[in-house]
Amino acid sequence: MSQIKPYDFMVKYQQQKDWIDGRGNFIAFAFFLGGISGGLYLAAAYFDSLLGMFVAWLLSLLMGVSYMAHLSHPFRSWRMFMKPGTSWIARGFIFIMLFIGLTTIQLILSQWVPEATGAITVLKVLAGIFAFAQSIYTGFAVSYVSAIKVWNSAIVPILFVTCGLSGGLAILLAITMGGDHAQLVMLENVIRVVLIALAIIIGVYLWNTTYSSTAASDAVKRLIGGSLALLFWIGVFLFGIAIPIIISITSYFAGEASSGLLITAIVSEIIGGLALRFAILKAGMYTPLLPAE
Amino acid sequence: MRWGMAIELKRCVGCYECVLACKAEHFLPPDIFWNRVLIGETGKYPTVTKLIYNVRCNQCADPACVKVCPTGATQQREDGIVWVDEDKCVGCRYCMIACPYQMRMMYEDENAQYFPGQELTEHEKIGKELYPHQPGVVQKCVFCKERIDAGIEAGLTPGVDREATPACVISCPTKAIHFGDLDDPNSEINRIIKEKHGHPFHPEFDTDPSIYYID
Amino acid sequence: MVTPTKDKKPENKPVIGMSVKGNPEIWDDEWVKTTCGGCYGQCTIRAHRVNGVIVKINGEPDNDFGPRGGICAKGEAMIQALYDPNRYNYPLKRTNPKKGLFEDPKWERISWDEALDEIAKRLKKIRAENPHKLLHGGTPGPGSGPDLPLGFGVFGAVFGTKNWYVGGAGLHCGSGSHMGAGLYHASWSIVPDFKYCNYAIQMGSNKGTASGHSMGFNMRLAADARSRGMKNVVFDPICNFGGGKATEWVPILPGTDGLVAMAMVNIILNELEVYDVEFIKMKTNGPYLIGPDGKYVRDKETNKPMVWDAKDNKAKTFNDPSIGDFAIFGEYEVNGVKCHPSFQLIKDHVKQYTPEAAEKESTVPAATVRRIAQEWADAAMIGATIEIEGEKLPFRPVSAVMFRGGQGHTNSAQSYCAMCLLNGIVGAMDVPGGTLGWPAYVEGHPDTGRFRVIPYACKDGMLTAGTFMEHRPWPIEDSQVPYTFLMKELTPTASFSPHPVTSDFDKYWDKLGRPYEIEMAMIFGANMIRSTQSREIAGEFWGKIPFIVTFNILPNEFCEGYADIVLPDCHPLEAYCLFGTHGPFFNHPIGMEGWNFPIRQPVVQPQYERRNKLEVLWDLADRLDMRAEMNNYYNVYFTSFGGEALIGGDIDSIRHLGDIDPKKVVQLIGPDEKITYAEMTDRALKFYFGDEHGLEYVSEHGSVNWPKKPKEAYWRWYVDVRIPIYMEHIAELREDVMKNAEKAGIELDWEQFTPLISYFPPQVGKELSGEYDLYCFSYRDILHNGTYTMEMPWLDEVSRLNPYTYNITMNTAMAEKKGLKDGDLICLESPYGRKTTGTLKTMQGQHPQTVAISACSGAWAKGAPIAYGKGTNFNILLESDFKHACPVSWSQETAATVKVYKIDHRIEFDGAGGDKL
Ligand code: SF4
Ligand code: SF4
Ligand code: SF4
Repeated sequence: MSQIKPYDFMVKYQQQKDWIDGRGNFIAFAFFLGGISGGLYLAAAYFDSLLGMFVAWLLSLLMGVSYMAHLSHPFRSWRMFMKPGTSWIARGFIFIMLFIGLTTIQLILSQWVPEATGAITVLKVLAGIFAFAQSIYTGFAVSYVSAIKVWNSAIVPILFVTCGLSGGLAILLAITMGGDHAQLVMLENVIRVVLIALAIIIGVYLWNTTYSSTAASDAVKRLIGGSLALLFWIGVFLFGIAIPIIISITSYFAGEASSGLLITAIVSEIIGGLALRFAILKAGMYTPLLPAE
Repeated sequence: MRWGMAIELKRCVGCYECVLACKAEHFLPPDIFWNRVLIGETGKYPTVTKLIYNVRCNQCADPACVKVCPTGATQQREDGIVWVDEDKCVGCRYCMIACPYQMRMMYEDENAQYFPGQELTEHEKIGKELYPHQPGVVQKCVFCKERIDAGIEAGLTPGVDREATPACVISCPTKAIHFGDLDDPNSEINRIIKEKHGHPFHPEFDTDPSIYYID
Repeated sequence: MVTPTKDKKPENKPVIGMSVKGNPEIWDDEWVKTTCGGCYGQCTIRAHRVNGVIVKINGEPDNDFGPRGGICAKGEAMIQALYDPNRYNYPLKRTNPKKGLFEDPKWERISWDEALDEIAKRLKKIRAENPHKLLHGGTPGPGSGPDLPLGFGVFGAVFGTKNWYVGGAGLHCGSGSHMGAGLYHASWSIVPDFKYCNYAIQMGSNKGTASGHSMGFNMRLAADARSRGMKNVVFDPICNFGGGKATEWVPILPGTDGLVAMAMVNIILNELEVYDVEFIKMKTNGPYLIGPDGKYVRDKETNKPMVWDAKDNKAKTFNDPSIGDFAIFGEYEVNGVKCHPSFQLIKDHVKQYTPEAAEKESTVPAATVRRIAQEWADAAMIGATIEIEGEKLPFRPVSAVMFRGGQGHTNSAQSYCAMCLLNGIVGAMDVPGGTLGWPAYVEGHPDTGRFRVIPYACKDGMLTAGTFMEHRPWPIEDSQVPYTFLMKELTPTASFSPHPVTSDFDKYWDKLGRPYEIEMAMIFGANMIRSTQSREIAGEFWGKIPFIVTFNILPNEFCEGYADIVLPDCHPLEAYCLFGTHGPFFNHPIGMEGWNFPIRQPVVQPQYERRNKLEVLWDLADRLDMRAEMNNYYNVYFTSFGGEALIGGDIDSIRHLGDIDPKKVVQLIGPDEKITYAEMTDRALKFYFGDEHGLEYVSEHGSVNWPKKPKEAYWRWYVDVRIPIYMEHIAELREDVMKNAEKAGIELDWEQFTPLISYFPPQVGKELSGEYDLYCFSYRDILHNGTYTMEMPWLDEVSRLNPYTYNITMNTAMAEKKGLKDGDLICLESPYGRKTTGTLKTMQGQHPQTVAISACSGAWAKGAPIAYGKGTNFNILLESDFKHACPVSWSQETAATVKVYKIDHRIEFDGAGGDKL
């Protein structure tokens, strides 16, 4: 799809490619990782899973790496702190750094100085705030781009946060699987709610976007019926929503879920989250400068 | 002071000289374009209109690219010119994403040459001395700021004196492009925009372009 | 000019007018004024040289010979041809004895002496036996300096051969238009007077939007006109260059433009009855009496054509000063025969061309033709006058022009003349606002009176050009039995001939008993394979010539496939050129634009062993003991521009140099002198423009400029001349041509030799059938000229950015009907089995019954890696024979009928040896 004819550049509808082609893939990964890392930290902090928080920390580091991999001049990346006043990338970069920094201290304290509860709680709250920020900024970075109508929607940050949360919860589920049963049930309940919320948000987003502009409705069409349909229906819908929901609903009625099924749901959920970032980034279309036929 | 252009579409024949003038002026590498000529058509046979728009960075007064740039590499001068400091750009491409006019591009392949697999031409070689380009950073039209600055220093007036006026403007064989100070109410360019009802290209993008088109 | 070197750095000048980053060391920063060699246009330019390298081309802002500061993309990209690593740098000799479309020449580098000795040896032998055995040819302009009247064709003519073949002639050129413009405007081509014209009609022409002719100033003036609100109706099968900038695009089938013009003439004469009576009476042969045999009724004593004086009610010779009123209507009896003023005949004759009939053939709705005729006639403002610089002149702000698209068919001459008739009946010829020829009237430089060309009346009072080339538009020479390979002498109205590169040439030459054979060819800067009709036919002809020498700057299909020796020519930015054009009637700015005489000079010195081809020709002349003859030619040529038209400037008159009274000739170059090109340029400039305007002056200023007078710009009513709107001469020519043609077994469409301008369906239309159901034509792209521009990477880049340049285009609905879509690889096949392939791009702005290809692309030469395989070569589809040529002008049929279908690969590259396509 990004293979447009050179003479159709800005004459026909055209997919953005800077944040998807080649190195651009790392942006999708970074956004995905930022989302689940944030979601996982929040969930892990709530359920007080040290391992969960540690994994969130790892994922955030990975996000940073993914980000660096996307830059053509990674050694200049320190410059990315310079313009938080207007740039979401600058803000996001700061959020990530703060999150990693705070979490590092918190994890060290939790592991080796667990008696410092006051400090740990403060750090957790602060890290939680930046976990949330790190997760939601990926959405803002995208939704800020008014040039790309399908992104330019207030729902995108909510969508990314929710999706990140669902992914984070799924990972937490995996981490807690062997452990406390009551916690597991509770976690499952939360996941059910989040998943349903996610499905609704996606629906509302698509619906809303369709009516916002021609470029956006065109993008939505490509998502649900065009070149991105496979990615959307199988990746986002089937893996990200349908399979996890089906499993969690069956488990709700069955009262008990087999670990095999749970693992399927978790993996499926993660694939879905990644697919969502790819789908949305790929759906990004520019409005042609010339009137399109 | 705010430099701007007014482009008379009736004059332009789509000869691409503005594109090549810029390529030669700035020794742009293969497949890098700071300006373009977009060609299309509207209508249905036999009532058809050919569309020819020569486009470049609009040097927006409210530029999306400057706002999103995390490093400050993309910046705006007092006179409205938006440019990229090559030494500061990290290559995050956010500005490329954000520009609704798609006027930015990344110079990636530093080994690209005009006659692939053959020697570099004298023109390419001297370009590397006179106007070197850093790979891995974002590029765009800079309204020929070097010409403007040197010209003003030499006491010339951009838009009036050729030496101080952007290369694409003075090279156009149909004189389709006018250049001047939009802040000066008495400037020729403001007169033209007013008289001939100039309007920005896609005002709905909301970036307040400094380039006006005249139908 | 002294080229600075690194150690002779000039004073520290501030760097202005160029973009530099940081503080690079700059020891050479010079803007050199010269002329562009990118196309015929020859615009004045300034080339910017920095540290010995040309970095930028600007148009020259200070004279009118170009876009006044602007330039076109080809001109800018000339830098890349200059520095192309594929250029020819040394004389090369073919070592592969085989010749053919895809043969690798296996070049071997040789020295200049070796090359010239070999060439001279052969030339000597030929000159002694029969100079006609040398065929010389070329294409003016593209890529290498043309030197039209000084080098191009001159060497061969002085040598004594009459076989002069212009590349792609009759194909890229407009034979009919050069004939017609010569006859009606004493000029090579025509342009609307953009400054004053209010309503222009263009038929198959891209004037001001893409054509190479007067490219620069046309683009500038046409843009002014559009901006001012000039109405511009363009009849064209495609809405791209001409049509794309029209105020109204009227789709039309190829080759039917003449019919629409005739229908408009009919409406104006017979329905609207608005025509310029004064003009018809005084400036045309409209009042001349025509007898029942279709010829002039002549005065028995003086043999002058007769007219009817309506006041005295009697017949008089056309220029009898006592004539009170020229009758243009009625029937009279003179010399015992019934006769009519020719205008009466024309008016009656055109009645058959109803808009309805025109609609059937051209698909232009009758109502549209009617409306446009009406609008145009209204806009003509017959009777109006205008004052320009104190001179009161007729004001006719309407113009109809045509170029290759409209007249590149077997009805070329008649179609072009039909369009001229349209201008003629409203008097819109060489008056403000009307159709102007390139300047035919120049009184000369104010200081010297030299550089002077004035049109005048000769035979029958008709307009005669002060100078011309290729053929004499007037007076028409006698038809002869063909004795050259061009056979043009058979039909002296033809300006270019497709022969001998035709499939039927041998048949006629056999019939004539094969008087001699071509033993050697010398070709200047052309691509005789890719830019001529049918590469198979061309390949067969060139393959048979035992020895071919070419001058070129870059490898092309002709050099690689057929040349035995290639001589490395200078690029226009490395060379002097005194005459980029052939005098004002070729490409000089029109209307009140100033007089400019620019020259070309080297901006950088030629590298390697490249040499200016003119100096090489002189070297050869030395080896043949022919230098004195060449020098004499130059003296005659320069002198003839000094005021007395000693020669027409055409190749033929060069051959009659001996007839000229030596006392009339100024000796600028002594017979034994061996001067350089720069020296000759200096002497010629001083001769024309005075001692202070020598080479030194022009090197610095780029050109000699002086103002034009209204009388020169709008000369029509200042010169007592008439034009043949009734083409009696063609009727008169017919019998002789028939007689002479028979001897060679040549059959032409004799119908077209009619004095009454008429429409004849083009051959391409006759070949349309259920299977071959589409017309295919090519058209000029603003990015390209000839074939060499395809090799310039910048032009290639932007060509790829253009939806049409490299693609085959078709109307969207038609493509759909045929099951084709954008991006399909398609094959076009002619009824003769010729095939070419390319990528489809559909467009709304195209006549549904047509397929179009722009420019002359589809390169297969190995030495042209940038051009290789890009675009589609249209010319492959064309036939080349008398059946596909206009009998009067010998223009080729430049459209073909085709069927279109999908294909899996590019068959015309099979065997090319490059990447499989
Ligand atoms: S140079 Fe002028 S005429 Fe040519 S494409 Fe650019 S704006 Fe149009
Ligand atoms: S056109 Fe694009 S790159 Fe130029 S100033 Fe506006 S937003 Fe920035
Ligand atoms: S203003 Fe200068 S930098 Fe911008 S497009 Fe024109 S030539 Fe290029």
